[in-house]
Amino acid sequence: MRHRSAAALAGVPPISALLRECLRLLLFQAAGTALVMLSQLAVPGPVAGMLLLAGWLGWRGELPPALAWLSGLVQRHLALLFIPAGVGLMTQRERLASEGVALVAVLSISTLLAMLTTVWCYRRLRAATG
Amino acid sequence: MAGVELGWPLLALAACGATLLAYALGRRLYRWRRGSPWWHPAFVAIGLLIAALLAAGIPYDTYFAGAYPLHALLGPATVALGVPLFQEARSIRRIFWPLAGALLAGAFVAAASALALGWLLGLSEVTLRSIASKSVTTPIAIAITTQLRGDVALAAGAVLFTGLVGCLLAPLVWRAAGQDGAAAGLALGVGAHGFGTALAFERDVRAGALAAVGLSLTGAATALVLPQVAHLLHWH
Repeated sequence: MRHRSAAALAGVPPISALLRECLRLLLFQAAGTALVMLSQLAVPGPVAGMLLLAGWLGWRGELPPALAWLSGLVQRHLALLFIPAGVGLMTQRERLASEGVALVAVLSISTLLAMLTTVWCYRRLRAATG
Repeated sequence: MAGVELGWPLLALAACGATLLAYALGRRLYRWRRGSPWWHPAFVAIGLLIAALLAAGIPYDTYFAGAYPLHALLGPATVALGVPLFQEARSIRRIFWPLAGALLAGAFVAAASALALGWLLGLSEVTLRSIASKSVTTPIAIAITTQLRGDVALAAGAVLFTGLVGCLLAPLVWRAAGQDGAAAGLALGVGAHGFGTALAFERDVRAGALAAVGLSLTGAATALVLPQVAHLLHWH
């Protein structure tokens, strides 16, 4: 840490704390996966892990600062992680050629409907519950 | 697999390195285009990598085997979405019922309307399996699509395109919400996942917080319900 260039590393938690939180994420993923396998629910393991983590944090009542930092980093760069899957579109050229126009229409209309439904329901329920 | 004789570590280095480079370039272009959703770093990076692989004649499977470490990090990244969920839990307690009702309705319409419209327009079954999770944040959508035996790449593409559409439609959503930041933010998170959430945060913090909640809970609700619906439809 002697050569820490102040600006670049400001606010970065100690590496030991970061490693501990990385391990925690992996453990919760494993716990979620185990839970899903044991309960035979068709839910992705990491999603179960996400809910377990939120529940654990709620039970604990506070957020470890290194975990908050790590989660912020992950959220900012989530796009990086799905690039390898997205590049797979190169194998889907035929499907995109035959179904692409319909796909664009379906995705656009469906997204508009979903967002307007959310707004409308929220405002109605908000008015009803005061 | 052309790369195998190089040894996997070298392939991984090349594929992950190329992915990081494409992402860094994408981010730079995105900033240069002042955050226009058309120039989202993921679009740019995916486009660049596809062009490079096609030009070099490298099959996708080879690239993916090398880039797998990045892909595998989607698991822990999904788990980390539990953090914003916890952080916002306190602020949403007061509006829990309107939020839960609107979120479930929105998540339902997002999946059901995609399936119904797609079916009406004659999309193939694999395509339908791949777009059912289109409003869900990419890591969760990929997990769901794997379970539904859809095409993961098509699902990732559909999610990205949905995010783009969500951002383009955002002004309409704000108008429908009557400038109620909470309603608009929630809708952007539910309908347009991370893209919508980023946009909501730019406009106001409260909208962003609700978008983040909408994103995590839409992912959870869709992941809980869709595989069971698929089971009923004998999609397994």
